[in-house]
Amino acid sequence: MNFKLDHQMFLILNGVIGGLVVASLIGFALSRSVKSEDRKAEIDNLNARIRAWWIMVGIFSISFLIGPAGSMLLFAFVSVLALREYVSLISTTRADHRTLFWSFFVFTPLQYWFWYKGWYGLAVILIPVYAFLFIPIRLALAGETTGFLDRASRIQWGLMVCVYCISYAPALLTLNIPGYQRQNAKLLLFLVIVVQLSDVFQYAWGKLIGKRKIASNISPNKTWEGFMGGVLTAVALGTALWWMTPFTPIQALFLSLAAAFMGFAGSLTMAAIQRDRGVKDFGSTIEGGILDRVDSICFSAPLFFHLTRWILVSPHPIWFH
Amino acid sequence: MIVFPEGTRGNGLEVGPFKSGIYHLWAKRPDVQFVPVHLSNLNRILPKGEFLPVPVISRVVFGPGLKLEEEETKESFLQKAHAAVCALREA
Repeated sequence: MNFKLDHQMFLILNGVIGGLVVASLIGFALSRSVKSEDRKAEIDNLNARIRAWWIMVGIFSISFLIGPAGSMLLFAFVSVLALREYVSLISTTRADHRTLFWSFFVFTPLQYWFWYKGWYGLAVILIPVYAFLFIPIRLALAGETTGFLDRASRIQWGLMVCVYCISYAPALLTLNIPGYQRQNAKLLLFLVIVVQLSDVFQYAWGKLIGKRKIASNISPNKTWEGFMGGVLTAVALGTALWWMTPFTPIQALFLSLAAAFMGFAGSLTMAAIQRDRGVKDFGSTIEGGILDRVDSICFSAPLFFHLTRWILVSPHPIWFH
Repeated sequence: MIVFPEGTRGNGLEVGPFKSGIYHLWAKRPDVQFVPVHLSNLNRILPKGEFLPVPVISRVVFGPGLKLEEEETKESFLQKAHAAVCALREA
C-alpha cells in the first residue's frame, strides 16, 4: 500500500514549504541585522527551529513516498534518538545496562512492529504493561538494590515518552477511517502542523505581549498571554485546515484545541525534567536536541489518536450497531 | 598517536590511575606535545564486562597541550597528565 498524492496533499506540502521559505528568509535577515548577544542567542534559537522544520518536512516527504513501512521506520529512528538523549541526560548506573539494551533494541522495535502489523491491542499495552513489568524484573536480576524503584521509574518513563507516545504519531496511519482510505498521511501532517504552529505562535505571542509567567522556575519563556495567543492561533488555523482531515470543521476545532493544549503540556513537562537535571535544553549539553523538537508531539499524539479513533473508527462490538 | 594511559576502562566515577608508559614516551621524545583528551560516558555505552553496547551520547573534550618542565620525575609527570584530563571532566 502507498499513500495517494492527491490534490489536497499537493496544496498542503506547497503551503508548508512556502511557509518555511518565508521563515528561513526572515531568519536569515534577522541573523544579519542583530548586534546584541541576547538577541543573537534568540535568533540562533529561531534559526535552529527553522532548520529542524526543514528536516521534518524532508523526513515526512520521504516517509510519504515510501509508505507506511518507511514511516514506521523513520519514527522508530526518531524514538531511538529521543531515548538516547533522554538516557544520556538522566543518570543511569552500571546495573541498568542490560535493561537499557532491552529498551533500545527490543521494546522500541517491537512497539513499531506492532503498529505496523496493525495489532492495536498489543501496541497499546506493550510498554505500559509489559515493559513496566519487565524493567523491574530485569533490574532485580541484575542484583543491585540501590535506588531500585527510582532507576526502574526513570527507564520506564523514558520508554513511555520517547517510544510509546511518539509511536502514536505514525499510528495515525493505521486507522481505517471510512471515506479516508489511503489518505492518512494528511491526518499525521495535520497533527504535526497544528502542534508546531501552536509552539511557534506561543513563542511569538509570548515575545510580543507576554507578561505573566506560567511557571517561572521551569521555563521563563512561557507566559499566559503567549499560551492563550498561541493556542487560539493554532486552533483557528487548524479549524481552517479541516478540509485536509476526515473531520467536520467543529471536530477539527476541538481536535486542534486538544493537540495544542497537550503540546503545551508536553513542552512544559520536558522543561521541568531539564531543569531538574540542570540543563536549559536537551541540545545545550549534548548533541542533538531532538527531544526539544518532539516534546509537544509526544504528549499530543496519543490523545489525538484516541480521539480520532473514538470519533471516526467504530471500535464498538457489533451488537451496538 | 592516541595513548590510553589508564590502560583499561574504569567505573566512570573517576579517572583511573595512569600507567607509566606515557612517561617513558615523553622521556624519549620530550619535543612532542601531549594533548589531554577526555571521553565521557564510555562506561555507560559499554561497561567493563558487557558485550552489548547502549547508544548513550558521548562527548570528546580536548584540552590545551601539557605544560611541562625540563626535568619531570615519573610521579610529577603522571600527576600533571592526570590532573589535565580530570580538569576536562568538569568542562
